[in-house]
Amino acid sequence: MTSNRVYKTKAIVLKQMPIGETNRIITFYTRSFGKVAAVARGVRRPGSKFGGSLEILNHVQTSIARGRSLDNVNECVVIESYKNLRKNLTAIAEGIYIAELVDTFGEDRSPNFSLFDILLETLSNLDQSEHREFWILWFEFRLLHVSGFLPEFVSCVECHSGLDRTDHTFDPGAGGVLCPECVNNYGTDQSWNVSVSALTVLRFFQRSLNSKLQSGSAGPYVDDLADVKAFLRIYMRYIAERDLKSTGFLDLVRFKETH
Amino acid sequence: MEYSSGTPPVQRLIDEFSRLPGVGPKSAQRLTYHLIRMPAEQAENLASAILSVKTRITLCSKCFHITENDPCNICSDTTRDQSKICVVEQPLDVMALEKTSTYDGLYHVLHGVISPINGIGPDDLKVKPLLQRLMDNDVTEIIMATNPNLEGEATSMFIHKLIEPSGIKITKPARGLPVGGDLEYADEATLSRAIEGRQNF
Repeated sequence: MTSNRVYKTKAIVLKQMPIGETNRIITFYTRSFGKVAAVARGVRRPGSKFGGSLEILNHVQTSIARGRSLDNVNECVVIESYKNLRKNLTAIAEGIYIAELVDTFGEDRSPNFSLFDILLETLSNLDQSEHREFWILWFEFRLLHVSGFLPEFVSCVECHSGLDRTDHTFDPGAGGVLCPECVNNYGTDQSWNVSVSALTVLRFFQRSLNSKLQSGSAGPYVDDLADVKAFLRIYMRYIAERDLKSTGFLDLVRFKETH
Repeated sequence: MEYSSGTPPVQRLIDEFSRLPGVGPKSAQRLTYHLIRMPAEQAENLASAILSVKTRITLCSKCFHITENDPCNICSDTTRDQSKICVVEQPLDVMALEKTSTYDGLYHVLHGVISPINGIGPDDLKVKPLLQRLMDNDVTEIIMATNPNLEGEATSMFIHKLIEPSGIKITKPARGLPVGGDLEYADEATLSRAIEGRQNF
């Protein structure tokens, strides 16, 4: 039985910030309450009751007490710590990137079960370590979907006519891809070109939204992700209205991995 | 903050104190009134200590530890093992390791940790000077003593990738049970690392 003062929830640790001598402010994405920041007292001391449970990207069961200004973490038990992910520098950078996306798109104290579930699913996909880049893109796409920013890729967003299998113009203000006629009438200077290769993956994602992709479904697409990756990066920046901070390090370690 | 000559000195001191980490407006007021009641000599000692820290302390040009002399006492001590470098996040980590008296090599202070979510990357740390040091000196072992958390580990892994091609031996301190603690209270991550890193009796 929980009192009103204490709430229990499953959560993912998104980030930490040192405060005071031995404390940290932990930002969780919780299943029942959305994004929550709470102080973990004494967590920086070796031998703290929290141990390693509040590490970034841990899936935890936690109980949090409401405080006057900031809440306090009472207890925290690890459900899954994604050990494989933590052994691979690129996977860590990718995990931190999706944590930053959730921190940016997730709302304070407003639960979004779907967002929590796709975050959890993506962390375990990253932990499996195969086709990680594909799973990040699938996460980004569904993040747009569950937070209400998903554009239209299948037909023209203005006249709803079907689109040929070719490059098209994407206009973020209009909310999707425009057919060549509508570009002349409705296109703005914010629009940019999106290649047929990117559109193929984006349409596959759009068709798959209501199904759970199996590990094999990445196969046909993994060699041709550069365009869709660039597209989602630009669109994420457009929605967030700023550069995401963790992309610099992510690009650096991905580059070093392949060179 | 710019102060006009009309700002009352008491308010100015309160404002200055409240800029310090962990000091809120109430604590700043308490410290200020404590200083007002303090003998003038003590207050002058405090002021001169603050000034001398700011004017005499610099970073060692080799290891980036805080020091009065450049190179620092550790780097210029020829009895220390010059072939080992222990890489740490902060100067306070050097002080903690020095207290143990078990390490006799040199240090390298990164002055931070890679923290992508806060926009801190390797270029914001003293990583390049470390690589330069390895090229110029006969170093045979690097000990990566960053904090055992995700960002500390990521920093170690990143530097490890940079140094690996040189063939220099790279180690990290053991992870495991704290001395004096009870096994049953250790968390799973610590306990599994302790078992993995077990040693011959």
